[in-house]
Amino acid sequence: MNGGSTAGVRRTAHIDLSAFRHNLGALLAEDENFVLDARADAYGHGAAHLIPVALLAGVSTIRVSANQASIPGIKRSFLMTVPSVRRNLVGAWAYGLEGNATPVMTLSGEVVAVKRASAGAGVSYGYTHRLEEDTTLALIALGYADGVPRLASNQTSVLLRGALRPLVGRVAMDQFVVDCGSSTPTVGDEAVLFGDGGRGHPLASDWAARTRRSALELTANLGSRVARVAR
Amino acid sequence: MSAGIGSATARIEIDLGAFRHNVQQLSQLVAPARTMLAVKANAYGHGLVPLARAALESGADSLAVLEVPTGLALRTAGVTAPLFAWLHGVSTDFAAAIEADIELGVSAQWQLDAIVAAAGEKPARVHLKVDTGLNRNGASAAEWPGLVRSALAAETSGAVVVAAIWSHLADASPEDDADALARFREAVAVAASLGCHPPLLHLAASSAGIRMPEARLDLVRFGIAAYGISPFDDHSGRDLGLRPVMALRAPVVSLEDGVATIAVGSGDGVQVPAIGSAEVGIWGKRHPILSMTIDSITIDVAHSMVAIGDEVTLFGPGSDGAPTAEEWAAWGDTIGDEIVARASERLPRVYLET
Repeated sequence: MNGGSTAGVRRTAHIDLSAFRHNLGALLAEDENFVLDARADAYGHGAAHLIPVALLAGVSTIRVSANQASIPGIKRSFLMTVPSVRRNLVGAWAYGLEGNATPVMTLSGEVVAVKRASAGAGVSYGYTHRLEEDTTLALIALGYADGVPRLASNQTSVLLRGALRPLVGRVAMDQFVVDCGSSTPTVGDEAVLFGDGGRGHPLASDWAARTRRSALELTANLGSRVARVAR
Repeated sequence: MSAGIGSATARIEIDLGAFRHNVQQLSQLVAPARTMLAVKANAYGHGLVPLARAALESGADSLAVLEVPTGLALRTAGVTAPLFAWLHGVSTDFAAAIEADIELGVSAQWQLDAIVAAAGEKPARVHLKVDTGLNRNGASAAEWPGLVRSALAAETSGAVVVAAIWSHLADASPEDDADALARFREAVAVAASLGCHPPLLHLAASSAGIRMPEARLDLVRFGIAAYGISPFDDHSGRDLGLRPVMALRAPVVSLEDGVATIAVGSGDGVQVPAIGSAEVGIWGKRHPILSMTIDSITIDVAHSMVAIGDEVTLFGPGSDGAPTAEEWAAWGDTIGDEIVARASERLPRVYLET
């Protein structure tokens, strides 16, 4: 609803179009007849950004969800809403969510509070995490309303200021807390939840495994407060 | 009961009658404390503007919007009631918020500085937040006197009016919440000793609003309970006299060998970890889910008279034999808040008055 707004907190899914082109090139070299699986708004990456790129790259047919059977500027003959029995359907690899493909999406949230906290203190709802020693906590403005699964509570890490920091306590509707140890981030810093392992980011597949879903199901359910920024 | 526009396709039904009932019950429960209704996160997935209007017609006199853009959207829609936003980033447009009479939570000095810098002729109405144990937003006990002094100075210069002191409970054990209330009272006393006596104190949300009367203070911020979902794990919404507001329904679109398919799937926020335990309701009877794809779910309807076009309820009011969002939460190892807040953004919302 606030996606792309500059008036509020920043929640961003960067969509790397060159990584997407790269993955498609490798797929086309193997099988020029494959069908790109772009259901659920290209699994949350944004079909409007990605489908024109795929068609230019040489993908001939794209599977979409029924609610996206018509996309402005795209000929309907390129889109299909039913399975093909003869052709390979490729999803996760194209988005860089499995194997050695390059990840297309990088999800980041804004640090909106930083504070010192003492050993023994509880963190977030239900105090499911207690601090073992004095530390610095950072509050990230993403929560389960944005599609960060509540099952990630005490289970995952983010990249913040060049280091992986554990998510501590319960994920709430709009925010979660990470433990920064002796490092002190600044309000406004960007924390990367998942993206490109080559740049030190956690992987969507790790987040997915720890929250009992597939990486495609994870990205497909990112909410509309997260701005998709293609570049 | 669900006949009408859109009943033939997959949809999310929002029972505004149930919502009004809940807001009335809750606001009467806590009176004379006032009720602020949380409509953040697109009114917990129910739809911002219709729920905001219904809340204000049913006993709430202000709305918790979380962040400035949501407040601005309500002003654009013509909502004139007090609005409260407290989650701010470094790019948050405080000038627009002040101009639109959105009251602002202040947890830290940087926020106060930015608000003072953005204030024009109109002072910003600020609610100073102290951290009482949650370790999220809010000034720590060490930071609190400094924040209060700065706010008082900004009040003297005409940039802000300190309208309230507030905090947020952890909903941990009753003892933990009692400790948090004591810390809150201490922070209020510290502020008073510095000359800060705002007219409004607020701390409780749904959980403490219902079962911790001493935490109601001047105002309760009700969220999940108003949507008909219990804030407790030992009582359902129905136990509390609340009516679930959201229902997710879809017709059977194909039927083969005792397996029915609906066009709702994991792309609609249906909790993947719930599959294996989850059931749906058809004609008042429960049927197990067999499998799920991004766009579809298959259901075991062997030995029953289910036909194409029959209505499947994933979750709803619970009074029709079908599951509730609370049951889905238990199957998915989460809470009902996540079930509704993450419910499909691609399915249409259909608003009903019952």
